[in-house]
Amino acid sequence: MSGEADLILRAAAGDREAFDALIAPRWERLHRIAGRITGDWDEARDVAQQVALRLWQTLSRFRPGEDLDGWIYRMTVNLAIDALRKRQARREDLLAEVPDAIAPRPAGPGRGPLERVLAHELEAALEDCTRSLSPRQKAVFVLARVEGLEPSEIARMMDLAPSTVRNHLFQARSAVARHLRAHYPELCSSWNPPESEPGPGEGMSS
Amino acid sequence: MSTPRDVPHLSAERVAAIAAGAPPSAAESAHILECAACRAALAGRDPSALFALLAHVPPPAAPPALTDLRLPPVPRRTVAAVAVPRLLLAAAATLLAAGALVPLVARRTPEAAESLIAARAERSRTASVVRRVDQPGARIVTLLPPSPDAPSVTMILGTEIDL
Repeated sequence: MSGEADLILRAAAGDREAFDALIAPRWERLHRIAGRITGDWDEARDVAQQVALRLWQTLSRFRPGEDLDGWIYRMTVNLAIDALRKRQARREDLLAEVPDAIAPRPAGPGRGPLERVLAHELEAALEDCTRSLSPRQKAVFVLARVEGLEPSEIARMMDLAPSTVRNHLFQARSAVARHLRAHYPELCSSWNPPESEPGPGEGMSS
Repeated sequence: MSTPRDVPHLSAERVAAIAAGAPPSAAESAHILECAACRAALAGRDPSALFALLAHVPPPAAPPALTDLRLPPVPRRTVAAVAVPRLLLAAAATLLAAGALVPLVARRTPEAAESLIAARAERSRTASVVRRVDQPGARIVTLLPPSPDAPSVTMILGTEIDL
């Protein structure tokens, strides 16, 4: 029996340590996905806790070989979309009321000041540019663009047809690109390299 | 040119790939965040691809610690899955037992005993009459009452019947 299957069995029997070992490696990512879909890190915290609670309550139904990652992230996306819909229905604009709702946490030791500023700016721009999208479009955009998931993975996660995902992604990318160009020209201004400097495309590849 | 952290610029292929949706590596992401040239190259292809750089940026708010999670001591579903069928089984067994006991208990009451005796006597009488009527040559004669209130009399007559 694999380590994860064993952890699932133990956690289903009420072993809290096994449960923590199962969810800890996914904890930051599910929090990050929830935060970027809802655009509110307090809400992301609630979503993450709800996901954990539901997982704890349903683990006994898991069978060996079932896709735990798929379950966790599907639940995260669904709860985050629900939270975003509720907030949109209330017509709240948390960013307008609380400008620092999306505020970066202190940077890690390897992160430079410019990088920090840009990361902060990008976070705020992401929320601003995606606010006009529907919750589903926003979720597809975040999963594809920020998390780097393939449309087929997103389709499975969100129970959508791959063509629907591609359609949502196309519309979201177009809307976000338009908004970025219009409101964040400093992020996407064209670059004119000095003649002495090598430009992008002449170095790193991976 | 000295590039941020002495990391070379992204190749045109990588810029194109990231703009098309491929996730950048952590090193690429860190480089693009600091390098205006690569950022502009990426934004020139598809500005929305800039958000791919956030893939390696930690969440702005630290996720709550797992130790802060308040979980019920035993998964509720497990308790329900075990407890509910047991309760249902117990209830069904009680109903069956009660159903079986009711006739036994009812027979033990005085009223029930009297009605049982009366029923047996009636069955015995009826059986006797039926035996007599079935004999060859037997006849049933009913005498009409003189008034509607008076009782009628029914007689069974036959050569072998001793009335």
